[in-house]
Amino acid sequence: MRSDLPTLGVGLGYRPEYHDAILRHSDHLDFIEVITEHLFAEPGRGSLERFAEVLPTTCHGLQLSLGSAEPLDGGYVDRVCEAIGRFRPPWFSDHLSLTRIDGVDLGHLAPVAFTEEILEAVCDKIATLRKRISTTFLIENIAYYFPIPGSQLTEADFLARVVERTDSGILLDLNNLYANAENMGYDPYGFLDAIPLERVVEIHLAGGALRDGLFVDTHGHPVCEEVWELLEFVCRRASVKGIVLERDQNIPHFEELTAELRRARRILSGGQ
Amino acid sequence: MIHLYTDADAREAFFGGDLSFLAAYDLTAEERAGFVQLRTRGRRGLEFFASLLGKKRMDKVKPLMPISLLVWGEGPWEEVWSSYVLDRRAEPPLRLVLEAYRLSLAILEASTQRFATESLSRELLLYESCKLRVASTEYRMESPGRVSPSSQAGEAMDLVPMILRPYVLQTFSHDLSRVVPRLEATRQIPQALPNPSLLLFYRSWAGGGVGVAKVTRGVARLLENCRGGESQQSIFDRMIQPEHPDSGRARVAFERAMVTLERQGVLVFTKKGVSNDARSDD
Repeated sequence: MRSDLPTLGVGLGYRPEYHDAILRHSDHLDFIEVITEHLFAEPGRGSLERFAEVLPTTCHGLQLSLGSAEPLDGGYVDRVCEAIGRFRPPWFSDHLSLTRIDGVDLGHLAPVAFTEEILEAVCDKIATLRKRISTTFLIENIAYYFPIPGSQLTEADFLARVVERTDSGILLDLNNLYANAENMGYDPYGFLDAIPLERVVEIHLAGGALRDGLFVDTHGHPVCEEVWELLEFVCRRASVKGIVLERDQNIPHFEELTAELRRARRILSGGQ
Repeated sequence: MIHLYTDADAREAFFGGDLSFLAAYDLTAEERAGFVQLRTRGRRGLEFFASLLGKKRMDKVKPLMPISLLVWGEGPWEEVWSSYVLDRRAEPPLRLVLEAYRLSLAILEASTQRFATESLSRELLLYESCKLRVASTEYRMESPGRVSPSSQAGEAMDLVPMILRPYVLQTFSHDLSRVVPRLEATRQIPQALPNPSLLLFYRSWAGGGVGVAKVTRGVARLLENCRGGESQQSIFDRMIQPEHPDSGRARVAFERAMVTLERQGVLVFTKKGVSNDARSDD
């Protein structure tokens, strides 16, 4: 894992809904994270290019579909290459998930079975990607809501082996981890003990809520206390380079977000 | 797994104890046991995920259908979506734009109860459906031997014009080439008096997007002949009767139309005939 990555600090996942607010409150942000697919074409690209002039920017993709049985979508990878070449983020990321089956976009991140076969396929795809893009690549853990049939490995072992074999970093989504631990009934700290924390480059924070007995990753609520505790645990043990707060629904006044950003910054810098 | 995500019938059967769909896969005993465990432990989570997938998919289709969302209103539009999803719940998911096209047909069907056939609202829905019809076809944009007629002065009539298929020619009672830009600018359905128009929905050679152009009946007939297998000269000779007193003017008009269509990206010219197979239908 490269040690020369810059420490960006605390940022926000860019959403068009708070475009103006971000510009007004950019002094509260150390960087922003943009959805890679929004850089592919106008109208999104132009305004994001202007943001990138104001704040450091990282790129976070949704549609690489590392867990698909089929090869990487060449056209999609071309566009990712173009976007990364243009924006030159310090790192870029996507999910340990599948979003495409037989060329059809599912519209959401679906979980992969944690098997040896899928592990090979995921590693091959990342290797192919790395041949095209030398920028550090991070893999994010997703939230899933049921045990994945046929899994031979735990999610933590699967993730650890993928990042070690492909020399990738981890984008650790703590709300996803907390949701999975709650819904599947495992210890989130056991998960953290089982992954190479030295590879955690970035952390995602978000809120969730209980619905019909499931803890759902809503991106529409404040970050819960248990997730803050997980953040403290990780920041004490890993050299985290950036923390991104994600909020997609029930978007509050920006002041509420800045309070969460301040708390994250305190934890990142060693305070509680 | 994808069947369990997207097919409510398969999911229901699975939770009812039917594991027959697994027979199509070469599962190990361990993998099979995983599915049995999913049936007993994961029902609520799987059902939640399936509904999440459906909602996300709807959210992805919406931006492809801004006109029908405006005409129907968001709530009723979502009701049509739900009923559409229910109707085809046993089918595999489609590419988003193809899904949008199929939904546009369902919306047109549902709109017969709500709008008169020639009402502006109904015609706007038809307009969106025509655009999606063209957009939903996958194309290969290569055109071997593509040339610009202006660079081939003296040989221009030997060049072969080609339009990508399928394209759609649709008659409307209103001039939607004027109405739609106003609707897009104001996000409101404008007042418009009937004013018949013939619109061409085409895949542009310049960039691959879907274009819309108002055309005359003569141009529509001309386009029918631009299949990529016949030179301009030959097409004109076939379409224009030399003994007709207006044949000279007709030829000039056709030549001008060809130039305009090429500039708009409707046509491309090649030096020799190539088959018009630059597409692959679903």
